[in-house]
Amino acid sequence: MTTHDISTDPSETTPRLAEPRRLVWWTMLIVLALVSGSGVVALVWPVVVDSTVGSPRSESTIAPDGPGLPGTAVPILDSPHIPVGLAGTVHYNSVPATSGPHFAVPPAMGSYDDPMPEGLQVHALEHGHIGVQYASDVSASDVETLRRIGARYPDDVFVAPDPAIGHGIALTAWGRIDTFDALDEARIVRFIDALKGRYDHGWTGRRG
Amino acid sequence: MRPRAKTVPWLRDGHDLAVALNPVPGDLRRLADPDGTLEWVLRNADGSRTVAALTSVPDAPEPKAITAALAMLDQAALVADADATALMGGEQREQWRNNLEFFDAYATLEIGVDVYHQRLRESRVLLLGAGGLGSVMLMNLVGLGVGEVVVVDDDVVETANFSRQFTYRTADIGRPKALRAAQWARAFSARTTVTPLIRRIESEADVTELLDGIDLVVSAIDQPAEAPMWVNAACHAARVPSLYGGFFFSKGRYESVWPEHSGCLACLVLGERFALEPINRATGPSVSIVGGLMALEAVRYLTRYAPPAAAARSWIVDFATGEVSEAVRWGRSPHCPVCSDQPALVEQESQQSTDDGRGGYAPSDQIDVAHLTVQPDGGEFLLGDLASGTFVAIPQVGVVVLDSLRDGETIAQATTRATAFAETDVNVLEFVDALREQGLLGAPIAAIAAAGAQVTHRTDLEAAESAAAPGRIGRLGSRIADAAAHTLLSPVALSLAALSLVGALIVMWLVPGLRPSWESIIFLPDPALSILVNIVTVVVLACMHEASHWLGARRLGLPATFSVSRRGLFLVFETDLTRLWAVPRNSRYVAFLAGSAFDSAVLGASVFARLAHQQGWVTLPEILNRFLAIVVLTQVIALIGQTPVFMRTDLYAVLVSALGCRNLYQTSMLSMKRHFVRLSAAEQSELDNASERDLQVARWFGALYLIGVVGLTYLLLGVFVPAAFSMIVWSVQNVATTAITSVTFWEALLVALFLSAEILWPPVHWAFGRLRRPRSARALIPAGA
Repeated sequence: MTTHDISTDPSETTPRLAEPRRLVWWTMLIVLALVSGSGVVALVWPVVVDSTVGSPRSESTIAPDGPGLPGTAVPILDSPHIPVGLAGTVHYNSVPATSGPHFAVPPAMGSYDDPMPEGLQVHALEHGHIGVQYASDVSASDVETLRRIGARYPDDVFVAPDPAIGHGIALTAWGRIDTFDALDEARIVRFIDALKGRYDHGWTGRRG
Repeated sequence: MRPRAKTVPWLRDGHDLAVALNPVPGDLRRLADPDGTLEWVLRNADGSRTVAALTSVPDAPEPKAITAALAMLDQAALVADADATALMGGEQREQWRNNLEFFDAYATLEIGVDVYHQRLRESRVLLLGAGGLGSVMLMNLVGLGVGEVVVVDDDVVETANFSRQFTYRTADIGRPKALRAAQWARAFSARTTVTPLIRRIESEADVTELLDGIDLVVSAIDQPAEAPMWVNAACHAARVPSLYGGFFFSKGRYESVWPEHSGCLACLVLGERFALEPINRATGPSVSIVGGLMALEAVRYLTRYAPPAAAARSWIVDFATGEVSEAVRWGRSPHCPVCSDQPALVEQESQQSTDDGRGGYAPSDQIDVAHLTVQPDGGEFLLGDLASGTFVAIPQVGVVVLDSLRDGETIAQATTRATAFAETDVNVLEFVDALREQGLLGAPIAAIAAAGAQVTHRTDLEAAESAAAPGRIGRLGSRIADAAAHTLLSPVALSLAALSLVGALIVMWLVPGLRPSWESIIFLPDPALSILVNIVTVVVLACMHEASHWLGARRLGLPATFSVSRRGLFLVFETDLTRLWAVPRNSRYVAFLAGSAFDSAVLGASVFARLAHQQGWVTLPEILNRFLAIVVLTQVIALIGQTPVFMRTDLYAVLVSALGCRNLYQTSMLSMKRHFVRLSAAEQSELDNASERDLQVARWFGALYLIGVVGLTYLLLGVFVPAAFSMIVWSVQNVATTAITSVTFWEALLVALFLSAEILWPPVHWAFGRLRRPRSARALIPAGA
């Protein structure tokens, strides 16, 4: 932008800004950096660390139980991140799994046509989500019903087939499981409402 | 060579040396000298040491630094070669001591003062007329030490001459002026040969026969009135420079003609119509002033210590105010009966060679400006070339100049029009030279024609498509693009996009489950495949975002450069919207916001589809429903990514246009940077030349910029970098723990490569703006982000 050449006013090329007080500005910048840095360290970093390394077992080996909680408590395993190639070497303490080693990435909620790897399932539960899985003996209409229920909880529930269950339906949350043979919509909804968001890299204190 | 620092007062001012070139307070020349090398050279280069000896002085800086400092001081004409001042000695040096000191101000390490003086000594000047101006010229030429002066005059000394002709004595009355002038010169200095010729100039031929061996002709005769034109024609034919002066009522004037370099007297029509006034009002002071200026011009021609100041420029001396001003500067007329025989290209080349090596136009040039667009913008006008995408801001008088040139007028004629418009002198030559430096103007029409090229006028789109050859889409593609632009960016479509955004925001507010989530990314049971699909989705949507900008420009009938490049393993799409400067402000916004309109439309459609599925109104394939969650996440990030106005985002472009700024980002960055560190000379110059509006807005925009940069830095270091790092580690682990024969291995390998190449790079690129800096004045409006 230098076509002021047509002008003969020499003032155009003379400095128009006063000399700054650099010490003051450096002080302001350092304060700004410290304040915003503290915010990042305090709020964001723990989330990043948790989502990066997974949940250690030291918090509690048994999920807090309580009156009226649906399903059954399952002891919580060490839950580090593992690569996909090591998934076959892991032994979980429930079917489907409710805690334990898992992949570094969580799955999207929604309904799946194919079984979901346990490494993804567990990560979903670690984020407070609910698994609704069914065996191959569940009828197509019941599967459709399960999917309709799941669709009502678009960011809380995944629905997927799981041949390992053998028969019937299995509901899972972090450290908790409920299995039954016949479709029971009320039981499923109660499990979801009661346990979703109860854990998210740590017990949230929330209920449902 | 023994460098010698010239005697000029200077003082240190922080990192600069302030050199006083003039006794007027404040007339200082600043030289950047952060490490003190310049100062050291000024103190130590006393002409007694060679450069090599200087480097061995105990406290000497590095030899390279000394060499660089000498070059800088030489460019500022502050050092000379002491060896070059020893060519003559004794009495001669004493006689011309002050002349040598004068030339010392212009001496360089290459050209010493004696070189200039020697050129004078070897010169032959033809002085026509020994009256008022003639006698002053003679005195000056002899005083300067010119080798030979041929004085031509047929008049005799009269009593009336004694008011201003100081070379004569009363005893000379009645004697031929030429003889008496020569006699005076011989008495004054025997070192100049003065040859008197008692002769009346009555034709061009009379001048021509005197030009053999002459280096310069001074026309100081007022009778007959045609004499200057005869001199002009004869000198043009012999390619000898000529100098003219005279008096006109209450003013004096002088000009010169430089054959093959400038227009001649006959090019200036006015010069032919107004003959000199017969009443002679010349006085001693008036002839001394005008004669002195002419003598200085003569020295310029003879020594080349500086380019001629009056070549095809008429300088006026106002005897009432004492002001010396340029009355007219003219070019060579293509219809000139005297000098139109010179090939235009020769003139152009000659002009270039005389202009400090910097290309330049001649006043007689006509220039093709048909390809330039002019758009009012605030108090200024934006001048641009759609083909190159170069835009600059010019004042209104610049538009007057362009109108004149567009009408086929010469630069000299444009000067007349601009001067009349501005009611003050306008230096059009400098203006068009500056535009040429920016690449906005080409060679003069005559030069193009002489070179065998044809001046053609193309439409805007033709020019642009020619400039953006890789992006050419063909005639059919062009028609489809235009139809798409007018349909997709129609007011109805844009309103729908806006409604779509608002609706999506409302739905996401009311239904938390439909909000964007990072967890959407792994939407397939195969994590690596999910990430790969996600990468492709982001790339495709980014491409369509940029394509929307391109359509936005297309809708205005403007070309925009849509480019596809590769960064790492990623494709990068970019649309250069710089040419939008060519349209009024209100018309630019659609193109700026077209990308976000696309993002809004896609976001709205995805959110509504997911809402319908969630509510059971429709049943989407489950995989599509999960994929739409990825689209929602991508588009929300894309829209948020355009909001930081402190970056070169779409919204920044909107803001810049709305505020009437030109280069707000750079101005803000520099004005903020100067608060922390000292700017380089180039940066300081850029800031000093920033528009008032940019500086005004930069006061608050700079703070926004600073806070934004700090915030984004933390976001980068605190979130993106560790997250990306952990993903890369996990991907590498996947590669390491799966069999090479498995699909998972290859998927994981691809993901690891993509993440390594890209995830760490885009945030850095985004946070710090376009690391590829815009070229000079280009990209005033950034490419769509």
